[in-house]
Amino acid sequence: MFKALLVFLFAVVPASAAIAGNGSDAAAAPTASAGSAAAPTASGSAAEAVPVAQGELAQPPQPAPSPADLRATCAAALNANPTFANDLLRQLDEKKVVELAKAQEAFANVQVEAGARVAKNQRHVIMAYAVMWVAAAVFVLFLWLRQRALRSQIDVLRSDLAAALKDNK
Amino acid sequence: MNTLRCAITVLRKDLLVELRSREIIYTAIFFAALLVVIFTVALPRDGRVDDRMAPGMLWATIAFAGTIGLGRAFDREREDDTMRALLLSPAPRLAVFLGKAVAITMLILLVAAVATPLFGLFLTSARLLDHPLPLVVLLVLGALGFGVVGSVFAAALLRVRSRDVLLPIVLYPILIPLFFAATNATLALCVTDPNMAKAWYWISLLAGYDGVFLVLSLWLFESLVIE
Amino acid sequence: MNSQNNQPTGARGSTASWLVPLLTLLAAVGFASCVWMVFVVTPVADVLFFNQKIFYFHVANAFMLFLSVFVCGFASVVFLKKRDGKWDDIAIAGAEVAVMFGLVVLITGSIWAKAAWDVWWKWEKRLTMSLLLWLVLVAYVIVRRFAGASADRLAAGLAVFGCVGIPFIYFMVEKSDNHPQAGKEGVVATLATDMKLAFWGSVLTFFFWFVALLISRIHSARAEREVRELRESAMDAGVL
Repeated sequence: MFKALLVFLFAVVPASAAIAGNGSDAAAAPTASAGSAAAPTASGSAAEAVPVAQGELAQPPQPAPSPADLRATCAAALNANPTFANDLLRQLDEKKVVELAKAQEAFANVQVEAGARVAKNQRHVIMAYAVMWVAAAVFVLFLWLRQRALRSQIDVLRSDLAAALKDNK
Repeated sequence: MNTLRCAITVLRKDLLVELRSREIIYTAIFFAALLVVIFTVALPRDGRVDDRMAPGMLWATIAFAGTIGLGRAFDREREDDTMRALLLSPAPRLAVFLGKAVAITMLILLVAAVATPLFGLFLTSARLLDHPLPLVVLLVLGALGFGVVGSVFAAALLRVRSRDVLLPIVLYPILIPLFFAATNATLALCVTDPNMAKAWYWISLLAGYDGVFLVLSLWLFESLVIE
Repeated sequence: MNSQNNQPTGARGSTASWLVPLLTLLAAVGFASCVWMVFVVTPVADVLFFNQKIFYFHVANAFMLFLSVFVCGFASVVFLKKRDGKWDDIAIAGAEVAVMFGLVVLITGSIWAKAAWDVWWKWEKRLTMSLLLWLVLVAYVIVRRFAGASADRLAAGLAVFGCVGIPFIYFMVEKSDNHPQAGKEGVVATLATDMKLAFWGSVLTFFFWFVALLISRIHSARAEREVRELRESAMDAGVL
């Protein structure tokens, strides 16, 4: 019984995990690209922003740089400073780890839900089996009691009858 | 031919006995009217009855009031053991059965003839009386099935103790298909957009039930009733 | 006369004394292997998941319900035509066993409805039909219990009329649009091979169980008949 339960869990959980995994990848991808685009300008800690800012501040007359330009400068800065690039990658990895943890929590919820569902069904199945057994047991008991009563009745009647016939003779 | 004549004689005898006392007619009719009032008083919500409930109420009324009349009609034959006399008479037993069955059918029809207009009166939203022809055919077929099966079992119950309680218990499970078809046919007739094809379909099923159970009753009546 | 009557009963009793335990044993072994098949071997069904496992025994019980009703109806016809009490015993046994199987069918069906559709009762056509059929059998048993010994032919008539009504009920319930259908149509044909094996295995198991119960109940009915006859002869002898 429980083996079947495990089979069910093994069949359902990886599938749901795969579904949830796809979702989290898709969700992670835009944040990662947004992060790489936004990191040089808005977010990012002061220590990492400083070298880029120094490069940018060298040309103050350009007021509104286009995204393509920003990307180009960003790529250039990353190429120029390998430690900064690695730093950024590490930071992104950390973000990804958090995302993964969240996704895993979601899997766990799915698991719990599936388990509850299986348990609920199991309860019904057990109920059905109990009903079958109880009905059969009651019927057999009833049969047995009735048979016993009838047997004793037959014995009494027979002995009475035999005694009466003997008396008549 | 002889059978038919004897059957008509038995029928005439039954009707004559009943017309002298009018006991069953009055009690069954009043009981049917009582049931109509009870149903229509007990079931409405917000002053209105769902018209889809009318067929079930109608056929339940016919079943209950009909059973009362049926039980009394056969009890009368038991009181002076006249049923035995009837069965011992030279008349063919099938004739006795047919005469009884037709008499009971007429009684049930009488009950239906009282209950249906009353429901039509009290439940105006259910258009019970909009299609008189299929309704009459339906009621006649339903009463016939009830009368045939009811006569067989009421007659068979004469030799048995606690027959009053057992009559509906024996009868209703067997009549379930009849009530099922009759209720569905009535429902098809009385809703706001009546479906004639469906009604006639259920009426034909009812006719099939009547035919099969008439044959079965003719086949088994003797072995069920004769000592 | 009585000793002559009792002789065959005793002889048949000895046949049954090994037949019934044998059948019960077969049913027990079959049941154990069915439980193993159902819970370990068969895959978990796609849509119904775990509660599909009710199906194997629910439907097997329903088959036995119809089989015992058929036994009851057939024995009743023969009894009405031959007036031989032997057939009446079979009819009683069939009816009572049918009531038991019917009860199991209805309750497991109700549990199935709860698990599958989250309601305790659904007017699904096979469930409806089982219920209506079951009512006829309950009426039969009540008549046998309370109407006295003279009601044997009346009860036989009830069984025959009820059996003739079955196709009508089936046809009408199917045609009626009041009853939502559950879409269990042809469910046996769609089973996987393992499932089919488990299903027919459980049908066979319940068949053994059914025969064992039927034989036991027939013996009980025979003993009742014997008591009645003994009582009559005791009255004749002036004992009672």
